[in-house]
Amino acid sequence: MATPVPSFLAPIVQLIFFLVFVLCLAGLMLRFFQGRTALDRLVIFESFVLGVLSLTAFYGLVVGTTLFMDVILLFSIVGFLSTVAAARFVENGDIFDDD
Amino acid sequence: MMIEWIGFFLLVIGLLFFTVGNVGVVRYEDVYLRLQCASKSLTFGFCSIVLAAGILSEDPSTLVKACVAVAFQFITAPISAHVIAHAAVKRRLRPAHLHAEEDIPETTTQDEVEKPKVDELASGGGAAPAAGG
Repeated sequence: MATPVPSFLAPIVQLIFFLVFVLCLAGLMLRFFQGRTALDRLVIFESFVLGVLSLTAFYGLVVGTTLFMDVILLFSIVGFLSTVAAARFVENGDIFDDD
Repeated sequence: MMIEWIGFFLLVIGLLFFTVGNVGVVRYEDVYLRLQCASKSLTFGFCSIVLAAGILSEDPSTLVKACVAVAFQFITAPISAHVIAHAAVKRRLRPAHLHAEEDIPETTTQDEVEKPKVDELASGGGAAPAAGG
């Protein structure tokens, strides 16, 4: 459903906010490709998921819709599960160990 | 008008913490140091931005969803940080600022600690403890 866009979000403010988000995510992406170990990349992946979630919330605020809040809930669950599964796989080469 | 000021304040605080956390994640040189920023600053920035989006939408159901997302993030961020740090310690990744002659301990997790045998404890009262360790 449509909600009113807040009045302080002038186009220049939107531009600054989006620029900060894009710079942060670009830095994370560069560090992802030159990370040292797999766990470094995993931490960077987790923070990238958080950045995309924050960007989604802000974009929903700019566009003026509330549909993105469901997207945030689902994608946070997916990000958490993938982080835990990848960390357990890195830890002992198996996700479901039976000890 | 008041709601817009609160939302703007939360948005700016969230973006500030998000930026600082990202700089920390990018510039630190260690898993353990990166986990600091990734699990504290970024979580707080995300929570502030999502709460701002929930407040500024002026819709009660959206605000409830934002609170659920924040609560979920507050629950799951320590869990994922713990799992990653557990994997890092179990793989014996060295902290970056450890001295060269030091080493992280051999037995790191609780289930790997060698338990003393019961009969040794019972019989050897004044005897010298077993070598090694």
